[in-house]
Amino acid sequence: MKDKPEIYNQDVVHHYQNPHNKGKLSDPDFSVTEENPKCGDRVTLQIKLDGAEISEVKFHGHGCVLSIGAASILTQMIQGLNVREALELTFDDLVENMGNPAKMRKDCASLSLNALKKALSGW
Amino acid sequence: MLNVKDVKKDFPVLKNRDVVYLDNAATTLTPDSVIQSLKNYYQNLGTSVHRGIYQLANETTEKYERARKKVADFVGSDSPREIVFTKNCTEGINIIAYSLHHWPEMEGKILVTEMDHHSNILPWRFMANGSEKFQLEYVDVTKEGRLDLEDYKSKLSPDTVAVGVPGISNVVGTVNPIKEMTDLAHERDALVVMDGAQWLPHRKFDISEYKVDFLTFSAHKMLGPTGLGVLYGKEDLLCRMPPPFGGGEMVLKVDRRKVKWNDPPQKFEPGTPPIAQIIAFGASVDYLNELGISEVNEHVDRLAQRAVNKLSEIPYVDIYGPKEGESRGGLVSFNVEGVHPHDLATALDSLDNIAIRAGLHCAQPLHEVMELNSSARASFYVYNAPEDVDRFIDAIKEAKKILGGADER
Repeated sequence: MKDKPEIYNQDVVHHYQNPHNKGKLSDPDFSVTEENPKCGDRVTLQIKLDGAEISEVKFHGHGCVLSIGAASILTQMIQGLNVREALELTFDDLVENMGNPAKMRKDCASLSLNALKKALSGW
Repeated sequence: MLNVKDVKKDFPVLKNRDVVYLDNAATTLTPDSVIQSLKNYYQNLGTSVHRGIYQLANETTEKYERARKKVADFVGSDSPREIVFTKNCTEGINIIAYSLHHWPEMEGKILVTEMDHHSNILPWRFMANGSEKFQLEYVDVTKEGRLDLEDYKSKLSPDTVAVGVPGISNVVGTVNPIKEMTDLAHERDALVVMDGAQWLPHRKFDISEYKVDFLTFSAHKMLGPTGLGVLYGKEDLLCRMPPPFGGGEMVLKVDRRKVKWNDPPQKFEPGTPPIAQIIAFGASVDYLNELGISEVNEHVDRLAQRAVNKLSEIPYVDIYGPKEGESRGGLVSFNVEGVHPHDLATALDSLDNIAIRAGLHCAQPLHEVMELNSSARASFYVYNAPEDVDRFIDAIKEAKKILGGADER
């Protein structure tokens, strides 16, 4: 066995184990669920707007370190952004905030980002 | 008994890459003899089949048809006309579903099981949707991952057209009672369509014993090339079934209004087939015959049992399907508490280059029945050694330590 390889960036593991903004909003303006049919992961992202600004955001669901870690990180990134700024976020922006997630697992890491785009595209 | 050390030498990937390959239920590695056969076709034959009037084309046709004969022998069929080459196992089932649906007399119930792969569910569902002809029903699977035979018996009604069943589940490894199920189906004049993708690679199959009407499997899951599957069908059925695809070579006579189909198997093989792959698949069958399918079966079973025994000793591992000592295909599905299967697969890969499968394995209905979001799966084949199982077990323990779980959060 290899000597202590870094499987994931420790920050992402920390987010997975101690997720931020996990839960449900009582009266969200947008609520979108994304699923990955290959593994069954599911993330629901809920957003409340104050004008054009994201005032509250929460997520819930189940999944792997990357899908849950990414969701936790993403909710922190978009808090306080306006809708236009949030829509401009790319996968690379998310990856930059996640350290170096497994490149093979884009489907996992982008689950919550896809939910965000779907939620706000109707705004 | 297989000599794994010798077997390993035949697989270039194992020489070229440092990998403990335990994803054999998805696809298997390719032995040198098969690679050489592919190369030989492109270097020394290179022509099409059946149409050429020259020596080279005859030689290709001869090798091509010899491969068909080898496959027929492998499943115990005495007629190569019963062997149709397809793109993969999935296409084989789609052909059967389409043909039965377009066969005027066929009308009634289609029974599939909750443990079927999507490839033995969706083709039937496509035909049943929006049609009065077919009604789809599922045979129940217990939470332990076994077919509920009583449920099967009660749902098998006189109007049942066909029964779809996997010989071995690609998720839980359950070996289904094919013989019994086929006898029961035939008593009610229902046809049996067996998905043999997980059976044929390592278990002896003789059509005269199991008597299924249709059998499908994939070349690449049994040391063969990709892009190729097999559809076995009883000759009289293939003769009477309407073909789903039109094209060259599948007709005897065409005028502007009428058409007379060719005989099987050509009737189901329009267009230029994957010639190199089919000839090379003959080499895969040769290779398996040389090892001896009983020896392969014994070896793969022993590895799966070793994995089950060792996983059972780990308190935070849940194993699905048949328990210790029970007959199972060469695979084991499981979950490690607190570690998502995808994370486990990534961890095993990072820790010790161990390749396993994680997810839903194209069998979402079964995961739903077993109340699982997903699972991890290790599957074994001829080039795996007992040490591979041990490395796999050690890596699981290490992954649990690193990725933690509820107790370490």
